[in-house]
Amino acid sequence: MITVSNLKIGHYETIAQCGSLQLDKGVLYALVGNNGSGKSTFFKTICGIIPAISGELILFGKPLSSLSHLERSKTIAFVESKFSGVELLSVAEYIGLGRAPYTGISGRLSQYDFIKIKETISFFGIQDLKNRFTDSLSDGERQLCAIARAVVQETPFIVLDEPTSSLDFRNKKLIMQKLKEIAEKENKCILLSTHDIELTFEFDCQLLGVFENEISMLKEMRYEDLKEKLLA
Amino acid sequence: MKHSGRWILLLSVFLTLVFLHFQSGEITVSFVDIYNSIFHYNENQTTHILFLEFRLPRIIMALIAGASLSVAGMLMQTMFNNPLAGPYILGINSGASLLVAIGILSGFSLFQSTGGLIGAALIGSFLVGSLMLLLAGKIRSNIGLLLVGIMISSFIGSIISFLEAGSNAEKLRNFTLWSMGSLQHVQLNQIVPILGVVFSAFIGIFFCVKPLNILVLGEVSANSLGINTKRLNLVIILLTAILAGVVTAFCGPIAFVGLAVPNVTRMLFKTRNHRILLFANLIIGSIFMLICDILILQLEHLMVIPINVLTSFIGAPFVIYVVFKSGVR
Repeated sequence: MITVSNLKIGHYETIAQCGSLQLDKGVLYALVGNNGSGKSTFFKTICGIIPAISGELILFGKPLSSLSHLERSKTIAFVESKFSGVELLSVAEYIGLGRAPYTGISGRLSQYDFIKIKETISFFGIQDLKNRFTDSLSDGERQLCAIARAVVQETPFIVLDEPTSSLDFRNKKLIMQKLKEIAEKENKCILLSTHDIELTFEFDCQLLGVFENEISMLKEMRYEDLKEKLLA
Repeated sequence: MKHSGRWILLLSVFLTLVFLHFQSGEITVSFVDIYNSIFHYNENQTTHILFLEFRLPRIIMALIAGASLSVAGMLMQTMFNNPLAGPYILGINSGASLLVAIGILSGFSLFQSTGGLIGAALIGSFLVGSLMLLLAGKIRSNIGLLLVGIMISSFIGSIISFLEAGSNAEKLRNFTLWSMGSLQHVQLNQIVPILGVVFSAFIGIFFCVKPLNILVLGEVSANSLGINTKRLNLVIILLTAILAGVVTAFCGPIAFVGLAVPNVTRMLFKTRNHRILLFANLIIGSIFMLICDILILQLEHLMVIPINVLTSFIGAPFVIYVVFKSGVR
């Protein structure tokens, strides 16, 4: 369980705040809000990549700030909005890096790591991409790989910054469906941001929104109302 | 083992070049001479003196310089996520040059010692390296970073020129000799401390293989995979400063090796795994430097070519090739 209270976020000055919020395991959360509203900053803050200006973030009973880099990487997996691929890095190697929090100083993968990687690759149906270089993939393929890397990290909490942007409609649905499945079957808390609000309703996501610099849960919100709110 | 064919090929090329190196130059050294000068040293034999005093330090220095600069280049290219980064183009060498210039031209005796020279070069390269790291956070484009590096080099170059203008003839001669770059000024008793420093840096890098492999995903991803990127960047700058600084202190500024060799290595091994890249850069860097020095020895009877001239002559066109091939933005 992740609880947020009186959080103020921003690089130097506060760009958004969150009075109180509670995220549970087994649920797929979708954060909506217009460009520049602070969605990415919020994500980077709850992943511990940039510090909060003030407020409290508790992850499964421990304050985020008390976690070491390693402990954090075993608790939260973060998928950036853009992964443009790395030259000469194969898909298998890339997904394998998701096991980094568990490997020793040499970075060698164990038998269990390989099983986990293989399982995840087949869950996402990307066996054919295994030996391709990550910079040669299409946007949709690359996004699947990035999510697979986060899943392989075996964290209870996965945060994805606009995972469906720049994808075609079929890939958008595929990604949402896979995320929903992981959240429910593996009992993970998954939080994503998106502008595809139809999809958040289609896949029955718990909605969060950033409106007037306030991040909050949107309970019982109808599609039409949300659309209106985003256009306001 | 994967790539074993490539390793065997590289090793044979390496050994052939070592052999060729001994066979090049005005006076060649045979294996019998080498064996005798090590195990039955006789100070009345000119070949023995020649081997131990000149040829042995020279070839070891060639190997150290090639390997160190290439590995330093690999570190820079991974850290700045830029295939055109290298210790020379980012001004790391010039930082070393500045402090060595201050040392030689000021005439303080502390700086004339082996340790003083290493120390000065190391501090100089570390300072410029840290400055580049600081600026890199603010510069988004690959080319922008290189431009800043080149400007820093020019700026430091002009400071050095000021210092030169105000120095007396003898100090100036010493400094000019150093700045032309050469593998020949190192003496056998200096080789051991140099080897010690460089070797410890290589061991340090070996322990950074895992974080380096993760760093290719960018700082944010590396951070979320458990890497303290701020600390890692500092360690990388420090290790680069040691490698580039020591080589610059003893051989003068050597351009383009650190930029070109890591690119060749990646093309040859087609991997981003730093465990492989580290060893491959060590051997390919040595090979590149041996080739350059063999050419210098072969042309010795016609003219004396500074090592820096030759590495630029080969390296600069290659860099242009990399720009065209990879479409660096």
